[in-house]
Amino acid sequence: MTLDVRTLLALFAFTQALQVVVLSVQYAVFRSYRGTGAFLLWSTAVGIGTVAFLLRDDPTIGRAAIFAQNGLIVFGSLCLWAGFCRFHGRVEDRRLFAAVLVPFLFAHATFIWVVPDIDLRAVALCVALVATALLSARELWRARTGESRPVALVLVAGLLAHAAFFTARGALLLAGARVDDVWGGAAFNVAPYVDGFLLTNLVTFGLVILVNRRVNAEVREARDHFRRLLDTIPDAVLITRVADGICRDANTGFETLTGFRQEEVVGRSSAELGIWTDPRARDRVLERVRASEPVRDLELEGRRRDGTPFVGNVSSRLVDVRGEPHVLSVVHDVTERNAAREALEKSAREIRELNAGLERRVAERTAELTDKNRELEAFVHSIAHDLRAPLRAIDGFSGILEEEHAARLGDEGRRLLARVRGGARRMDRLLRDLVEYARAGSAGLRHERVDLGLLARSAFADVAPADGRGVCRFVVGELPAVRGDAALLRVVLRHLLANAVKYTAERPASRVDVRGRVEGDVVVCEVADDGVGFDPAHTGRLFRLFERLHAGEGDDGTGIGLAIVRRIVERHGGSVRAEGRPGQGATFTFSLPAWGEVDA
Amino acid sequence: MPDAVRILLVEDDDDDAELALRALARSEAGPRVVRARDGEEALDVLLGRGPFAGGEAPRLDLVLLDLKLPKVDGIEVLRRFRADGRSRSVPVVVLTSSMLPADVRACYEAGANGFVVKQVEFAEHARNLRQLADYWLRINVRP
Repeated sequence: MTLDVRTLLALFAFTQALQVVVLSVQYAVFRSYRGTGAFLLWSTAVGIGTVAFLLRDDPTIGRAAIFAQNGLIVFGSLCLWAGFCRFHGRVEDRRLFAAVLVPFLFAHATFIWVVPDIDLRAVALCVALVATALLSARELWRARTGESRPVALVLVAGLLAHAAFFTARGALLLAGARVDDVWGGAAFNVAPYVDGFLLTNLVTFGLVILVNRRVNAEVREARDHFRRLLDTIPDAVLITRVADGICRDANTGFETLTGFRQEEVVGRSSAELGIWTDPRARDRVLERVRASEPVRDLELEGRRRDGTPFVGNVSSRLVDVRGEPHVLSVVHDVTERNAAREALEKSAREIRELNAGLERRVAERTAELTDKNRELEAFVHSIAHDLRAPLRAIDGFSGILEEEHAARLGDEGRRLLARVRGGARRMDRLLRDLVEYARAGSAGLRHERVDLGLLARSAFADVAPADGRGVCRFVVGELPAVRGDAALLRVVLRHLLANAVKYTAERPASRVDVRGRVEGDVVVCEVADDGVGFDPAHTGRLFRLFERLHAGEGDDGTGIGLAIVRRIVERHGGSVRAEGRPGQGATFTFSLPAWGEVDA
Repeated sequence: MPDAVRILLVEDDDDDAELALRALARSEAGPRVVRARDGEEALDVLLGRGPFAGGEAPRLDLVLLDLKLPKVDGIEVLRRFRADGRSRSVPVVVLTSSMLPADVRACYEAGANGFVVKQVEFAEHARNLRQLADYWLRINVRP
């Protein structure tokens, strides 16, 4: 069989040009796939190499054309291998690339220019092409998984056949076969071109299918992922056609929300299904979306398949599906959230009402108690008022009797009359103290800055004996300012100092000390005397109403003074206690709120 | 009439009234004292009606007014005194056993010139009354 080598080469060049065009388009479209550039380089190099072949007889550039032709074919074959590497996510080994290309170019140049020998050149080409074919086949064999598998296997087979062909040819050449006539058309000479023609076509087809399968696989994967994503998110997703409101797609979230199955929904409009309670609200969403205005979190009420209501937060935007405008809607179910919020608001309201009720009751109760206290104070005043009139009469008329009828009374009569008047006065003091006790419990409490030192001096002046007899030394130490009611605190000091004066009266050179110190946010005050003191066993009785430890020690105690003291101190939030020993004096300690800087 | 009625004592309690009259009798001002037993009598004296009708309205230099009175109580008497042109400038001192702060405030608001607590100890009570009479009748100047 003889073939016209020039015709064959022209056909080869023509199909090669077509392949370059196809691979260029592929590269342009799928540039993002690594390796497509290398494939294009392969095809282009082989194409140029083929054209270079036609120039080999030119006397001036013939040798260079031969060098370029074979160099480009080997270079292109290496590019194919590199492309397979890259397409499957690896980077080709550049040293291997060079290890094939450089020795080949060196040998080829040697057999063209130094020792011209067409047969040895052909052997060198055979070795290089077998090597590149095996490299590519190895790479495809490694990557024969997934969508690449059938194409990879076909290409591996083609490449192995190609390698086998050149191995045989190389062996024949070494065994003595001759490339005697390049254009002669003898089978031995034509065979490599036929091989190249078949292989390049096979590989180009393979590459197109390889990339195509990869793209298909990825689209499928993307669609699967999208579907899975749609069905995984808990919200309802709905894609409806703007033109007629027909639903094109719905996810399982939609099924969960509305109870409608996907196949019941797709192909129908939401109006048909009666999902939205107010279809006009749905139309408003549509209008806004049509005006390219995305809708976010619009609360819409809807009905499930079983008629129960739900509330959804709808977000929508316009999307194109195959050139037709569609609305992509995501509906977030807020029925429970709204219900929970309402329940929360309801309980908050109830708590507020309860609180208000409680506060009202406390206020009412406080008002009642305040009224009761006032009533009690008024009652005590009224009693005291009414009781004092007869006392005044007793004292007044006894006095007149004493003055105007003294002679007729005699000494014994005057003594008895004095006892009558003494009794009247004692009862008067009792009444005054009772009134003070009542007032200590009900008077409005002022919160002012009180200088206890000043109050103590003024109160002491009240209680010190007017005749100066038995006056103790009165020492006022440091007394920090307190917060309280000056009038009431003066009563406290008056009673404590009156006590101290009374129980030191019989002792020579006695003294009464008033002092205080700040402890945290209270002032602790002491009124100490070195008078007759008291039995500690009776400490508990001291502050009780009408309790008197020193019965018979004079007629001026009422047993109310310390009860008043305790009442006033406790109303200020403080406490009072007493310490004493018979014959060793007494100390009354009470605490009051300190006048802090913040009060000033 | 140089020694016309000068003090009106409004007091329902006979004991208190007698003690007050005795105390005032020893006053250096030597006033003539008229006693009214209740609020209505006090107003009769002021307005010259009832038992006091016919005569010239008495010239009053001081009214000593108890608060707890039968018929018309002390505060009301005080208000009517202050409402009448003839008695608007007459000094009124409330004389009572009450020490209720609310009463003190109410009296001053109704136009009292003073508030004195009746002391149980007669000597002190008598001294207070004489000082009152001295001050209002001899020291104080009135229109």
